[in-house]
Amino acid sequence: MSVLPCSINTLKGIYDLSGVEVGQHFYWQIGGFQVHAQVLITSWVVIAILLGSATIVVRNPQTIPTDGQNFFEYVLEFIRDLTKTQIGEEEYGPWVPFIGTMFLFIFVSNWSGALLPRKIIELPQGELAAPTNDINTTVALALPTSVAYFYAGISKKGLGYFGKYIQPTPILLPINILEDFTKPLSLSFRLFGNILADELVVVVLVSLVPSLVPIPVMFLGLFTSGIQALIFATLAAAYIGESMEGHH
Amino acid sequence: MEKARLFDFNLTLPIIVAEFLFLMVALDKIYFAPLGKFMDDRDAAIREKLNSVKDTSGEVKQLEEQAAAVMKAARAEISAALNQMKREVALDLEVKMAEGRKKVEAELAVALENLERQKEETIKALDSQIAALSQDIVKKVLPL
Repeated sequence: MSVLPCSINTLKGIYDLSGVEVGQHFYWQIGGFQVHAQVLITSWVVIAILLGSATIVVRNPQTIPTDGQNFFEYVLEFIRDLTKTQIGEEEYGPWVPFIGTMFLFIFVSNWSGALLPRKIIELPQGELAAPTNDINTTVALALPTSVAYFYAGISKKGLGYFGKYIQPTPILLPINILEDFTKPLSLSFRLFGNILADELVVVVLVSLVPSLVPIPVMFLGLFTSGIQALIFATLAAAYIGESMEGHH
Repeated sequence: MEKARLFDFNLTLPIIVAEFLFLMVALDKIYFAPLGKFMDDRDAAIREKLNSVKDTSGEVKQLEEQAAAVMKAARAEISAALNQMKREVALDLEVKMAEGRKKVEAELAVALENLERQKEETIKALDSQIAALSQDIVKKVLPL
């Protein structure tokens, strides 16, 4: 009779350790407004990682690149290629920082959620996770994308940019206008849903089977994280490129 | 525990936007712009070097042609010198051979003369001997 309660207690302990907390936030008050502190903390960590590593590696570039510089050059080439294929040879230059920052921030955020053992640091409420599993972050990334493609289109074509709403026929006007809302919506919800779902799957699996079984799912999570960052950056670049190219 | 709220928009959103913009400017300042410029400069330098290498290839061709011409001239000179030397040596050799032939012929003539003389002497001696021998034979065969 003593075996069962013991095992239940153990299970309960494991369950508490890997408790599923969805939508729990650790709040800070800033001037009467509430913020999600766990998102801000992890985003600061991500920004610190990005800026720190870039500062250390790029400080003194060599003609024959060292390992770290080689990696950073590879990443930069990758971002440039991505931007170039979506926006085009002539105009991609100024958009590299935007798309690159988008990609790197999302990628490092996603991986920080998947790699760092965030349960180690206890928060009063909620838990440290990828900043991208909060809807605020993904919308905060999608809105600048919208602004960016409007800016790109208007700066390229002036007010003629809005002519695209009645092309190929004015009947499509409502759909074309709707598209401007669905673009940031789909961008933000895709990222948010994927990252949240990925972390939830891992958490649920860990709470069910504590060892070994979640590991493949974790690897899958790493894969999804990378893919989502790539998709977000590619789509943002594609939207910008689309708004700059002529529709005729 | 507070009520869980999944779609909870608040001040976090503008803060993340600001952080993103800050990160974009900062990354551009310390990563994209300097490293990109560095890579472009290096590409340009490498391309320039490659072009200059292509230019010297023409120079190398010219030098090679020059070298070939020099070699040709040298070969012609050498073959001319060789021919002349051959001719001279042949002439020399002919003279020497003629001399030698003359000498040998003279010696031969002397030797032949000697031989002739000896032959005659021997024949003379043989004649006298033949006479004596035949007298002896006659004496023996015809006993008095």
